[in-house]
Amino acid sequence: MTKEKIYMYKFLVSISIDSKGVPDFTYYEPGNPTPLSKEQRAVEVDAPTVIFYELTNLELSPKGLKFVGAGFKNPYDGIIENAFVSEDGKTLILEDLCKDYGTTNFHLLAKCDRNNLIIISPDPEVVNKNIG
Amino acid sequence: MYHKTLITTLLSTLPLWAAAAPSLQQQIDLATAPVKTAAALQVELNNPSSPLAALGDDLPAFSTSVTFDAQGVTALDSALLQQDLSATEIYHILQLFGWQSTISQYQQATINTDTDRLLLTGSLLPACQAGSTVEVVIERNGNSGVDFSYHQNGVACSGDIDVTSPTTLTYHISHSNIAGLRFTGAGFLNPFNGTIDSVTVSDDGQTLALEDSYQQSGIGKFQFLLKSDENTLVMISPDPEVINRGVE
Repeated sequence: MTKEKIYMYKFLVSISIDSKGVPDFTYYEPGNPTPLSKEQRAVEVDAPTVIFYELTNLELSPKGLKFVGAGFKNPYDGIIENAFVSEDGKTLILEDLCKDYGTTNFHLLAKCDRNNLIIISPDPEVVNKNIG
Repeated sequence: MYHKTLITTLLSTLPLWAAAAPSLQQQIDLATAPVKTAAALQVELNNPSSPLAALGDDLPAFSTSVTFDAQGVTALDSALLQQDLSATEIYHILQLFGWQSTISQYQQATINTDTDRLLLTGSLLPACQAGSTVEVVIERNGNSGVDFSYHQNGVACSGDIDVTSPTTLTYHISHSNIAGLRFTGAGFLNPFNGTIDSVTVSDDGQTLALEDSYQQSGIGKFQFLLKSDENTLVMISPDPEVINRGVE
């Protein structure tokens, strides 16, 4: 049996409704109250990696908020292998087995009790893989 | 009557691509921009045939909002550009500053001509009609991406739908080269603006229906969500629009 190191990234995601009624996504790293910029959220991968997005600040979020998945413009580029949502919908997990390289991006997908429509995060999350 | 659209709030800010490395075309646009200094802007303001003239009474406020650094324009009030200008007029103004690649952010611009439509949607095709099913062809191009095209009664259309009364908008996958491709839903940047009330998918995943009770004017920008047998990931489409015209 071989032992392999797996890297982990974790982001906290706060989804609130702004004054115009539009969902607003803010991202943090655990333990740091300063929101992350788009560049700070880009994930650089050079070995098998798991990326977690966990809902936070739920008291400020629409009722019943939960992740339903991640959406890819090109799900066939081979960069992210799997996307899962935890049973309670609070955590989105992306699995990158590092078989391929290049850049991919995806949007977070969420739902709440207000209607049956799915919320898409406005900015794509970016994963860059640099293996030769 | 009012017109409301909730796609993007435009701020006085750097173009979106400024945060990332600009593409070669964006670098060329900036390098060849006619207006890169406050002095060049003053010259442009004195030119009666300048594209800026389209701003009318908003021109003084707009010109005040434009700031520069050594490379060129760093900020402008994009909200002022949205007011009563066509996409082509906005494009010509952005061209002065080398910012024309940001035209897709100006979705509230007026569409009067085919050029306006091309600038905003990347398509010269007419909008689809609300009355009958829109057939969707979804084809994978190797690993490079997935193309979506739309037709209705044998005629190609853009995938956008203009709505003028309460209706159910239906999309059907008529052809795909992706095994087991099926709709799983539709995603919205703003699912609470009331343009679309609910989404249903047929049991076989081949048909998706959007209920539009026509309560709100505005543009419902959405993206199809699909899955296939090829992997577990959800695919999102480019963004067709549902446009509710003139709800009182």
